[in-house]
Amino acid sequence: MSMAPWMVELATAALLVLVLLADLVAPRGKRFVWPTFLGGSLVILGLAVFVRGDAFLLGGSYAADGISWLGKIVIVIGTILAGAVSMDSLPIQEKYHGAYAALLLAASLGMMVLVSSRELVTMYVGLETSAVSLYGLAALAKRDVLSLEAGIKYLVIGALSSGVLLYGLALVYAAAGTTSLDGIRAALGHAPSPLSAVGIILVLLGVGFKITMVPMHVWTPDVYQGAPTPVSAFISVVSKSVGFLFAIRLFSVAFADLRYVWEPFFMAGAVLTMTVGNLAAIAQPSAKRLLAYSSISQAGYLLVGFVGTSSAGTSAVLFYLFAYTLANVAAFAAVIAFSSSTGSDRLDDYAGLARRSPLLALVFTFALLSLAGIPPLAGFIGKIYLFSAAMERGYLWLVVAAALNSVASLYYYLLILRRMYFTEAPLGAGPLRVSFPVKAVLLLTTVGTFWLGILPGPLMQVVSEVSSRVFPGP
Amino acid sequence: MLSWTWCIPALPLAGFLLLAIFGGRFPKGATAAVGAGSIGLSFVAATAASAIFMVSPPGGGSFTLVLWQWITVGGFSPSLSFTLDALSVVMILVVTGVGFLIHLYSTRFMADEEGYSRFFAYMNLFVGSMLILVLAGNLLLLYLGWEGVGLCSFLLIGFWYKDPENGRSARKAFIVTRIGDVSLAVGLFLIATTLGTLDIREIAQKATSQWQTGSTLAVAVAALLLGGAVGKSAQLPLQTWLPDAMAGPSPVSALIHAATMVTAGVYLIARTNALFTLAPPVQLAVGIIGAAGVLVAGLSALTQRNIKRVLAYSTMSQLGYMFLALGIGAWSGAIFHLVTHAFFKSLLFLGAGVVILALNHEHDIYAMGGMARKSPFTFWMFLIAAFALTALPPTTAGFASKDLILALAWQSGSAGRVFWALGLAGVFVTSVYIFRLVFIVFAGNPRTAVAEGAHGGGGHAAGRDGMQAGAAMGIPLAILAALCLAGGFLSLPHDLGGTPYLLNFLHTALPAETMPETPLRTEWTLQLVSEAASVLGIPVAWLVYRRSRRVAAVAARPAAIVRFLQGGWGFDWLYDRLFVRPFVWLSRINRRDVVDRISDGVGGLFMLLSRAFRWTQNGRVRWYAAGLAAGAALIVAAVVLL
Repeated sequence: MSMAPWMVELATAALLVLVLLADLVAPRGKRFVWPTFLGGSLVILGLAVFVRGDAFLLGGSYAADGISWLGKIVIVIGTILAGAVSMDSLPIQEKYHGAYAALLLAASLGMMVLVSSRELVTMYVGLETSAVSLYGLAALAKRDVLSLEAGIKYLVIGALSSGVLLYGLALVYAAAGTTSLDGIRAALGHAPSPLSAVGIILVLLGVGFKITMVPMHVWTPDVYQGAPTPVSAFISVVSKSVGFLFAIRLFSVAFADLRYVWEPFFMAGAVLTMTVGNLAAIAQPSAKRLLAYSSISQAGYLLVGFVGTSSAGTSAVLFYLFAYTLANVAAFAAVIAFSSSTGSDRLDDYAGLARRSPLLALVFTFALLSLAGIPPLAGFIGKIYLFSAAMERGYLWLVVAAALNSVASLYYYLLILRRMYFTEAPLGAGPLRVSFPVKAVLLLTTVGTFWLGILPGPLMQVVSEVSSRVFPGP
Repeated sequence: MLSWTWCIPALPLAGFLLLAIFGGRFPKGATAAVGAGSIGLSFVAATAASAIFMVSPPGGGSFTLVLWQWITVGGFSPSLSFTLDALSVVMILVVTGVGFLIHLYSTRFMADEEGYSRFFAYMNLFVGSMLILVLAGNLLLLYLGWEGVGLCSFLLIGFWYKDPENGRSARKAFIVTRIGDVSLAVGLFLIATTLGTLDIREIAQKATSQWQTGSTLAVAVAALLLGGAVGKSAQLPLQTWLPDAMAGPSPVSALIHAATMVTAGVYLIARTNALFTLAPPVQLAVGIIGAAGVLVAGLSALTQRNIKRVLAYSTMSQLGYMFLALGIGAWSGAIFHLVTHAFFKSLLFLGAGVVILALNHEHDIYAMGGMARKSPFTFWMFLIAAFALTALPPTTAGFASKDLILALAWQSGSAGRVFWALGLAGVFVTSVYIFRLVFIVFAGNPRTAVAEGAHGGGGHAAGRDGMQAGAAMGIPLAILAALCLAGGFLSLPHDLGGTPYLLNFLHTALPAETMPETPLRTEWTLQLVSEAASVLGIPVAWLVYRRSRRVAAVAARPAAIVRFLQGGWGFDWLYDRLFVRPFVWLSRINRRDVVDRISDGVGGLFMLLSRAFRWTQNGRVRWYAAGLAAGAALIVAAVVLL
């Protein structure tokens, strides 16, 4: 057994130890923590991108394949970006920065395990590792009541849905007699038993918590609002992306032959999720809550991709995850830049931002427009692929519903633009001070958003190659 | 060899980005260097590309540079590709060459204005969009350039946005051309759904093989494209935006009228000539629109009091000649006239700009006069442009192209004879309106004091004369004047012993004219007749000028016919009554009614739902857990029961 397939996980674990050591060296400061974190993460990113092989380990229960490769890249990129925006804007005491960085790494390590496993128990271990770390992250600003509350809520709802998921997994195991994904697929066959059908749906609900699918979305606004904003960004982007990869593994591999059992729930879930997300976002006064609802509706669009034909749908989902990651991180980074300079999260305070900080307003605009799906930004291409995958299966009504939702979402995205561009800034409001790491994140994500929108070919090629190999057989 | 041609549009776009992001921090010199320099480099690149293209022509007379495939969705995969053929080579040379001269001129002209870097950012984007438009090998990419040009025209016409009147003009230009844009977009949808491609060459091939000449589909597509073209090129019936577009600074007018924007429609029709050949009724309509435009706009130009409005109507009239040429299938003739028109029209606008600046932004020609003595250099430049416009020797530019179009019209059947007659009448009208302008502005005594250092900066320098205004404004005028004098040699009529270099070159990309060769004697006769019409216009213009001087009350109350012509044949009035007022009226009576209730109702419903959803999000975690559990139970029940 060679080391290469484990490399990224091992490196992450090593970095976790290093960060804790750096914290020990300078216990009351962040002087060593963040350089260690960023330097190490960049090395890991290099590893994640360049170490790519197809290998099955531990008797096929752990894999280094296309999905895990892409998954790790998204996780590491998300971790780096979340770390970068955290450095100067965390509402916690400096002495906790080490713990914070370590928790981020622990969460991403758990997620890496999750996206790489091909077996239910390993998956669950990875899932819980990341979930527990995230609960801690959400509650880390412990002087802030909202943050504590967010942590508690996240924990309670997370435990509940974790129970649902575990129950579902148990039922699936009972029906199939194996925990290996390929084994489950072979054992369940093409005809569902009541046991397997209920199991699959409970698994869907459990996964629905991760990907904020209605009705499992209820925790989202409170947690996103209460948690430190970089943590919200991390949860909304990385945790959700991993949830979708998890769903791809389960539903496109293990339950692939029972498509007609779960597909109606995906369709209903897609429509409900985007509609609820969009409608609730309309009247939001808080920027973070608005982004929370917006990210719920984004999950709805992503669910559309599961309805599509296996290969086209999966590659559309993978592509959109990248587009969504870039745009959502940019949006959160803009919110972080705004709130750490003004201390406000109210959308009304964004009035006249274009006069105060034109570039910040501009990149925020691009992020929102990409989320809304306006060409030539990444979100547009992503939506085209998602919707056309559903069209190939003939689900016109679903595409119409999704397109209508996109239009509706434009309303609240444009409301922000209107505030920034067409209302007067309060008297005496000057330009905002944006820290360098946040600027860098904004720049990188905006460039990426344009890049994927104008030149989507290369990434599309990669994701379709990966998704064509997700499915072992016909 | 030519794979680097992407940098021709990329340079101005890079200039735009640079100025848009950092422009505010640049000193004026740097802004001017970036703004004009990017276009200058682009011109150098275009020249080099053209030279390579001409020295070693690629196979099939065109070179396609596929940058990348944009998306592949459902068998539709538009690629980002640039096509370099004779047509686009000519266009990029005109756009970058004339565009560069205008930019150079602007570095001085705009020196006293606020928003110097904003101005050059828009101008660069304008030129960059136009270059994308003419280089696009794919109608989708062309549409990108098309919209970019429309956006920039809006931004630049409304450049002096502090005066609400300018904002209105900008909006008008945007909305009126938008009507054409919608038509073009629908045309593209139709092409994409019926032919499955937007690649221009594939469209021509597929359409020719799949569509019958005169079939409904071909006519519909051509008509929709024509709708787009008349919008951008300010032809009947979407011409009303152009005179109001004069609200922008003079270099903007020069750019819109000479190098970019209005020529886009002519280019579009020439580029998609295969579709128009398949739709004879639409092609005839192109000719009729053109011929009518020549006279409608020419007569309006006769009565204008604003120096730039005279030139604006003149542009519409000259574009009419191009449409006329397209209508009879003289594709290359239209492009030739486009080129020469770019020379003399930009010279006219830039010359007018010097006069306007010298007179402290005075636009009323009746307040001008005697400028020949005050600004002899500008006077001579303007005169050369006027001669070129009226196709009079010793200038050759307008002469060669306009007489070519008229000769071809004469040769192309009975409809062509009518077009010829209208075009000839247009020649006479052109001569009258432009020399009326020349006499009123440059002859006689000054009526407004020339600004002598009154308001500092470029103004006082420009006050005395173009040449003294500094090289930045003088040199472009001189170069354009030289082009007006010599431009005709690109393709001299063969009865004068010329060789039609440009036409031969264009024929490698565009179908040659199908008209029979014009006999020498006919050609001479036609030329003589049209020259006579031009010459006759000068004394008539003198009489008009004398009368305007004698009758002091010209301004008081012009005759009804004059007012009619001044208002551009009442199109504005008509559209105001036909569209604007009914629309306003409808919206006024609809302020509180059923339709509103419905949309309010929808909005209210959504707000209600939004509030309901927010209410469910009450922050109590036990509610969340209960809701979540209930949802899960419901879903599981659904699975079990179904």
